[in-house]
Amino acid sequence: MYFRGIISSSKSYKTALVVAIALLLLLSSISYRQINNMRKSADLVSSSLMVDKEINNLFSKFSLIEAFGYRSLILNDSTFAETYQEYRSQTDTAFLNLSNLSKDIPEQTQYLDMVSQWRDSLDITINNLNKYRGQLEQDVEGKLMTEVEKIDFIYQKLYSLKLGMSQSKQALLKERMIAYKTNTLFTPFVSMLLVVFSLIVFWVAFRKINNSRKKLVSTQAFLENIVTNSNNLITYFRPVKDESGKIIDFVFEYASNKIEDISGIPAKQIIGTKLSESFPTTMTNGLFDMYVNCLNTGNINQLTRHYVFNNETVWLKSIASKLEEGVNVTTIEVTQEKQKSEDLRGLNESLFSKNAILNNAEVIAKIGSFTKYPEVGNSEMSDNLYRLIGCKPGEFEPSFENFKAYVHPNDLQKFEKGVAKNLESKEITETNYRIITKDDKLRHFKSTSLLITENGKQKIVGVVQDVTHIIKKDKKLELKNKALERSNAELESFNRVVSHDLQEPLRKIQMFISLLSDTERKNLSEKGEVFFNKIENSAGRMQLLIRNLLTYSRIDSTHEDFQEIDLNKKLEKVEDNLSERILENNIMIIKKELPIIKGIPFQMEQLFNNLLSNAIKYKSQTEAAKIIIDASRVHRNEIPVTFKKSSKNYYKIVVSDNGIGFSQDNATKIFEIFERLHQKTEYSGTGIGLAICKKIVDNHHGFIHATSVVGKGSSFYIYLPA
Amino acid sequence: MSLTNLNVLLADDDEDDRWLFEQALNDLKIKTKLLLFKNGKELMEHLQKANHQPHIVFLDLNMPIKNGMECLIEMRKDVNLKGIPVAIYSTSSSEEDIENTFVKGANVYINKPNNFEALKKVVDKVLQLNWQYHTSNLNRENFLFRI
Amino acid sequence: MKIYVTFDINSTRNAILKEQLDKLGVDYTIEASNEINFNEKLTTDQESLLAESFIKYGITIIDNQKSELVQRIKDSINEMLEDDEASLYKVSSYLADKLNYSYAYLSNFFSENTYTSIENFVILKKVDYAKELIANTDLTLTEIAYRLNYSSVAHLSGQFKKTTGLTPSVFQKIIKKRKAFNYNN
Repeated sequence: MYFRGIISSSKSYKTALVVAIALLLLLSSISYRQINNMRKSADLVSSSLMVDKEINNLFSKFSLIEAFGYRSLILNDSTFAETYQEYRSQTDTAFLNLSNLSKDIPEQTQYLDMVSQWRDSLDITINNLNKYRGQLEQDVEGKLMTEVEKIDFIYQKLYSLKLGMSQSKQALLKERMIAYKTNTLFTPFVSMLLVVFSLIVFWVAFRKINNSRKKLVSTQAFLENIVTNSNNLITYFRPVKDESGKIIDFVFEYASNKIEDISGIPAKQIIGTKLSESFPTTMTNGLFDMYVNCLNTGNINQLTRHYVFNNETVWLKSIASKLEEGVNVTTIEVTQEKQKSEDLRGLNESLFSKNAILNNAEVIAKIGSFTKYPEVGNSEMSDNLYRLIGCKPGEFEPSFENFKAYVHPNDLQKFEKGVAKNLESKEITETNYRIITKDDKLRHFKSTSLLITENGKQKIVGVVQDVTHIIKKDKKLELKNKALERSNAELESFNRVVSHDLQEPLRKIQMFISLLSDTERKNLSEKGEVFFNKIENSAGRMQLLIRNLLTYSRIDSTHEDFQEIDLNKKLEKVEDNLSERILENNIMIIKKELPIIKGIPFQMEQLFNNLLSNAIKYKSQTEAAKIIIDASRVHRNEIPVTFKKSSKNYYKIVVSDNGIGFSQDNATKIFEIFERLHQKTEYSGTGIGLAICKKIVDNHHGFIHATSVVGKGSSFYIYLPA
Repeated sequence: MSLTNLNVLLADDDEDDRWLFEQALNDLKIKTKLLLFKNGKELMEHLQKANHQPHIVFLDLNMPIKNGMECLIEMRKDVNLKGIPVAIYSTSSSEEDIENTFVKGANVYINKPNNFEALKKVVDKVLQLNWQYHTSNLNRENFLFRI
Repeated sequence: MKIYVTFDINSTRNAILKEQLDKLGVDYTIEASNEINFNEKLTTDQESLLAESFIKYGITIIDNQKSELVQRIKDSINEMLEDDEASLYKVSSYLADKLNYSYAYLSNFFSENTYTSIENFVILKKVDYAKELIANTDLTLTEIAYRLNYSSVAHLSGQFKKTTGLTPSVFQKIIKKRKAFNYNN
């Protein structure tokens, strides 16, 4: 568009120029004529004035002649004739001038003829008069008088002629003055017009030229910009020929700045050099030959070659075209494209090998795959799908109908339903069915397929898996689950038996022991008393054992779901439960903010309950009892004890007391079930409490251990996954 | 209501437990009139036709024919019986049982003690509490004790 | 749906008394919260009828001077618990001042006639009040402990547990569930 404007304007330029010149010529000629007219009318006016002067001159001569004639007559002067002759010639000159001046004016010529006649008459009369002079006779006198009268008459005539001539001249002058005035008025105007028009033409021409110049400048800048900013290198070469006219080299006439980006050499340094000097490889890699070919044939040629600049390989595509006597070359860097196509080739190769792997994998995983085009009706089946149904790959035409022949008759309906559902639904469809293979084996298949639309074409892609082994395993698992359920139910009923049915008679035993103790004890012998005590203690221990065993068996990870537990609340609840004993024993509890963990609420409660109960039970007999509960978050690397640390971070909860403590040698034993450290008589308990704690912490994938100094107190460390 | 002769009912299928309960009651200072039932059905039949409502009913949970829970629910649904205080008297110490009976309207939950002194103490306490709730303007809605 | 109600004990009591007394068809005046004056002496039948109808509401006819003193002790304890300033006193001195008997006499008298000590009764009353607050208000245990003049939540919880066999939170849970259960049926 930019260029087009400039090109199209040149035509209109030419037209405008021609019109301007024509107009200027026209105006000039008009002006010339006008000036001419003015000059002429000025001449006419001046000639009119000359006529006037000549008329006066002529008639003044006549007056002089008259006067002189009278004087010589009176004075009888003999010189009169000579003088007259002199005047006479003077009138002739004036007359000639006048007739010359008025030859174009018929009226004046007429007058002049008449003047000429009367002058002749005057001449005769004067001569007559001169003859009579000196005679002084009477008759002469008379004659003389006649002659004088004649002269008077002539003079009168002459004067009247003069008057007429003057009048006529006056009228003409007036006419000419008007014409002159008109001319003088009109001429400057025309001249002015000419100047103004010239100025306009000049101004328009200047504007046009200036605009064109500007356009040209910006066009040039635009082109320059394109060339410099283009990702392409643009060069122009002039051929160098030897004597025989054969091209032997090229010289860089122009190179855009891009050349620096590509080669590292600034364009300025390259321009003027020879191709063979700056880029010698081009002489042999075909580029030079291509340039030559391009120049010779005028065809556009292109060539892609790699070059090494600054140790980096660059792929360049050069496109050469002939421009006047040289070659114009556009060079494009195609390294990336080249690399991509290389990558693509690599991808293709790996795709090929992956396909091979997939084929292998299908065989190993007992998987087959298929593609079905429901609109066209044809299908594709993977080789292994054939094998899965006991056929050789490609043994039959891959089609839905042909495959269906191998489906178990009882599962046909199910199979077809799955296929139908697949066509309706946009989701993955799963169908389970049985197959009877070509060699009459029953197999369980699972098809997973999906309807997709690719390039507007519908297609079902699916995977068929031989799940016979999974189904067999499932069946086994199911049996095992049932067995487990049975054993769980048994365990449950066992628990019930223990908790109720077993406790019931025990309770009664204890009840009657107490009755016996109240009423009959005093009647017992000393031995009997000992036996009785043993019975009472055993019954009591048995009850405690049953209760703790129940608790222990209830700590079971499989039944409960983990939920978020605010340990602060759990601890509060435990304190609540133990409030009586805490008050009774005057225990001071110092606790820190505890974390919120994922766990089984009642187990956490049990954990704190057992630890606090222990601390109360084994409180110091000498000092004010104190329990400190501390919590922090630690990285697994900061935990000094070894256990299976599945989590990155752990909450470390420490329950310490200033109680009687235990020997550090027993630190692990205390967590074993039924382990008792203290004398039975001194402290009650079955020794299950800490075992329960351990089981709970284990359930929560944590760890519990204890440190203690006899007489100083114990610390129980619990690590729970954060 | 006089301080003498509190009407007390007990339903328990265990003969020994009934006997022990009776012995315990007899040893208390509070004068009571006790009626014993072998199961829930007998108890309910008595309650339906009785002229005088008892002051408190002790219910074992585990009973043949009609268990304690069934009796409790039936009583709480009956306009005439819903105001009678019920004390559950059971071996079960399961939290679910305790909570469940309270929710269904029991007032007291007693674990059968394993010595006679404790039994006497427990029964005495229940009767006292019951007495207070009857005479001292306490809120029956909140008559809820676990002993 | 569930609703919660509070009620004014006095007007409730008066309304119930009026309703039941009107049934008898005799002239009466309610003199005080615990005194009813009849113009004529009631027959034995009328008396037992009234006793029967009162018992449903937990109202007992006290017919002798001894019972009246028990009632006065109980009333004084109620007043004391409801009065913030009175709670500063010891129960013993408060009752002695109020009822013009020595505390020893009152204590003895109370135990003999109710099978429970004044101290136990005060605790029962306090716990009952606490139960009321737990069941029917949104107050926290800390606030309840403060209101009932317990030195700490632990103290309240301890006494609550000791008296009722339940912790306050378990009690609250059960009451909530019971309310939900009742409204569902």
